[in-house]
Amino acid sequence: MMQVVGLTTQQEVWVASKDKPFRINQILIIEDEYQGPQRGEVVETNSYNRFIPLNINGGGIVDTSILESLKQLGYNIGQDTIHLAKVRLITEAQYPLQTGCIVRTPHFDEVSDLMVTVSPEDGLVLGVIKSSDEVSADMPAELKNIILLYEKGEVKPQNGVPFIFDIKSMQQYPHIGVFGGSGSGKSFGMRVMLEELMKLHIPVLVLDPHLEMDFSAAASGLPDEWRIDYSAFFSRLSIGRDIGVAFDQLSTADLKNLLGASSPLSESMANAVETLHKRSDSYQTFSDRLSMLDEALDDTEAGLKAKLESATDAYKRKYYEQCIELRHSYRDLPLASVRAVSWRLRRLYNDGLFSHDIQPVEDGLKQGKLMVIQGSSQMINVFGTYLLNNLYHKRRDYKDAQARGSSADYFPPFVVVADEAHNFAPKGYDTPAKSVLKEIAQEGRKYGTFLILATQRPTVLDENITAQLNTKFVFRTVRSIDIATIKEETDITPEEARRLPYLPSGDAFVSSAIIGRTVPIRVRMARTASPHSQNPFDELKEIFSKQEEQLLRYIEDKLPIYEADMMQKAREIENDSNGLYTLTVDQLKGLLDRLVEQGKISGRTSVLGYIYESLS
Amino acid sequence: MFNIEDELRERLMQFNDTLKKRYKSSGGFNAKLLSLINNYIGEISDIKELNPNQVANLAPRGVVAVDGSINTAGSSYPHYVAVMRSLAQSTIAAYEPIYKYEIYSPLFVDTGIEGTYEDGSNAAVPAAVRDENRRSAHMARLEIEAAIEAIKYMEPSVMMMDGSLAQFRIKCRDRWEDLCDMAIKTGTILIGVVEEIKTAIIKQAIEEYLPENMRDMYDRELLFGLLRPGQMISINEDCLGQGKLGLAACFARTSMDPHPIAIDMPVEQALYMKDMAALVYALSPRDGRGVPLWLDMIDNRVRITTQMMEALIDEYIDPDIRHRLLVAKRQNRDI
Repeated sequence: MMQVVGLTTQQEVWVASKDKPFRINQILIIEDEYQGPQRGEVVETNSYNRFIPLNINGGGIVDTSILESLKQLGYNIGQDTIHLAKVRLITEAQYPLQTGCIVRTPHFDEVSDLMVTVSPEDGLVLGVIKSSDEVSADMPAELKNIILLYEKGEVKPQNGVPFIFDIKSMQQYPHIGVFGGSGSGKSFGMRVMLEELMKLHIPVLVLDPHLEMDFSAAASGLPDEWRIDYSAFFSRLSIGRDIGVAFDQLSTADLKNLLGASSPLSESMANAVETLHKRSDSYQTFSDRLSMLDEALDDTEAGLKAKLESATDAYKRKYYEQCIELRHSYRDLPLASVRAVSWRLRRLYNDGLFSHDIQPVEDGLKQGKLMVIQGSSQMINVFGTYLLNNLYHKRRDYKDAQARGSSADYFPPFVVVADEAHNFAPKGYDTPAKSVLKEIAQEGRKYGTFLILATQRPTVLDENITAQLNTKFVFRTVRSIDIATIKEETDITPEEARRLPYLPSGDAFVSSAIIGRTVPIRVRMARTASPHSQNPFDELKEIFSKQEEQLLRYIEDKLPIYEADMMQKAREIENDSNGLYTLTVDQLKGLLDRLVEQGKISGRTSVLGYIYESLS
Repeated sequence: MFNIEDELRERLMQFNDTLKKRYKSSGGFNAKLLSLINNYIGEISDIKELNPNQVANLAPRGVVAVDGSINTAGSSYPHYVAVMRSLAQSTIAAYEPIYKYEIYSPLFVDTGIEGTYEDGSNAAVPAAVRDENRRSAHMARLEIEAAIEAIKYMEPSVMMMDGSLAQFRIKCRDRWEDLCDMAIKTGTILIGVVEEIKTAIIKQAIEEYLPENMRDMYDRELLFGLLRPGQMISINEDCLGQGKLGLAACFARTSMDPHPIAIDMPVEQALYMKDMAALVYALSPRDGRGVPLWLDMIDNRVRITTQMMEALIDEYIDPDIRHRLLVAKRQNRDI
């Protein structure tokens, strides 16, 4: 039996039970005689045994042998344990609740509005609501057994009410933030979110600097009947290989962004780009202009004229004429800036950025697919900015035209997903990506463009953007400054904030304007696996042991090996392995010592110095 | 103000000096005292250390502990009401605890109880003292009732009473005999665990061997720190002034606390004395007072707190009666 005890308020009560302990975030019904049943959530739990008091100084610590003896005499220590829970009411009561009133666990329909607001077909089924298994017993069949959980290396059946995120309400409360340190389950959370977005055929653009967003491989341990083939729903596009920038469509501003993406352009570099870039320049014309100007500014006018004089063919003559002309027009540009721009441009070119365009992305989004943009972190920053700008404005132009009643090419609403978002929109300084992200954060709702931004460091994410994230998934967070930020930016309670450093991987608090309260969830098992899920150290170990195995075969042929003989033996091994294993004497000695240690060969001191022998 | 405190300080210091003189020379006498006790009072032996399994073997049907509690509301005799409660509970969790309640007020005395108090000279004793005796007789009866019922329903191996059995016999003889007979008949070993030793057995037995300054010391003073933890003195029957009460007793140091406890039991069961000492020793926290934890747990459970008492009185006694009888003037002090 559970009962309200002690001092009550309109917001909070203490509930005591002798039978079983409370679970944090459990929802309970308090049967107040006068005000009717009240719903509350457990925010703090305690268990206490009055005969085993916490008294370190007073000799009150009971010897375990006595408890053991009492147990042998039939005593059950649990019978004297009292469980206490602090319960916060979901909605404030009119008066303080009555002390002594009965508390019970709810039926599903009594709390369904707090838990499930959308059907699994229409929302993102992301996991289960924690501590809801008692409630889930009588929930409708369509909510039962729709997900699997993964805990401590084991696949487990669904054990509670599913957490279904109502994606449609992003219309009112746009944008999602996903916060959590490494190992907190944040990446898995993102993966699950993306799987669900694919399920709903929502166009998604994923900026993936970690090259981990592949949905081809099924998660290990996933039963066959749970597998879904996502291959038709997503494409991975590599910057420079599959997609790039059509140079002739670049505006000068775009070009400046691109060139400035790795590190900001200096003022004179920006000036050089502005002066030199012409509308509808191709990469060739622009880079030719730069290199000619480079040569022209490097030389004197007289020098150039001399070269012109001495030029033998018409092509050369034309070249120097242009050089002289360029020198005339752009005399004021500093050579260093021109070179820097030229250098940066070439680098982008060498990355393949200018050999493709963004058409594949547009096509994919129009088909409702999830488009994963992969590339190095820097390339993503460079290209992502351009891409986002482009796509966002396409969508905006379409909606604006629609509002005006004029016609424009259709472009669908879409969701932008970025991991390590603090790299794209850092607090305190400007990056090219930041302005477009900020624009989407502030206005995207109108145009149906939404952000899902993940970061380990909510504190260093631009605060204007953070403020627009109406839903936050908070995974384990250890840094106190990040916890402080999360406390400020969400409605999680101090009790919940205290739990943040201890959340198990895969557990999260969802603080959302859509739900109106913080919901603790356990993220469901992902159906697919990241290509990186093998532990890199296991991988190293595997490779090393494989190598050693191979080497051992070559070495075994050469045994016994005398210390004085090592140079010769190393050379022989190199020959035998066709140059695969080139070892110095030291390396060979190290290796042999390790093999001795592992007991694969033996070693001993002899009259001829140290000698390595085969075991047999 | 200052002077008063000065005077108080001086008096306390004087008192301390007196006490110091009284106990000063007893240190070197300990070895001698031990051998005297061994020779004249009873055998000094080591208590057997039991592991949990041995404990279970010793009391296969569990240990029942009995304790009582009393709290009063009101001013002083005879305008008060006492609420008494006794509890008998078995270590075996399946048995429901047995609670017994009684309300006592000197305004309505059941004279029947008075008769059982072995106090020859009733008339000479002031009414308030008589009342007190009556009250504690009631309390003892209530505990004995709980114990009897517990033996009937739980059939425990050991029945552990809080306080000496001698007290129960003195205060409530008729029911005590019922309890004792029943325990012996059913094979329930009945023991009393005495936390505060008030006897003077040693002095009476070996007064002539004691140094001058120790001749008027009680057992409590003489035994302080004398035994090692885990040692016991099985008191010879002829040393017990209460031998005629049909009880056997021992002193035992069952924890690190230098004050030993005492255990008494019916003479008929005296052969279990060492076993029972071992049981008490096994169930007492090493750093505690030497009382079995189970007994402390029962004590905690049975206790009627002042807060609880107030709540009960406020709830069930009409306000006018409460004020007429039970509200002490000093409760309404302004400061």
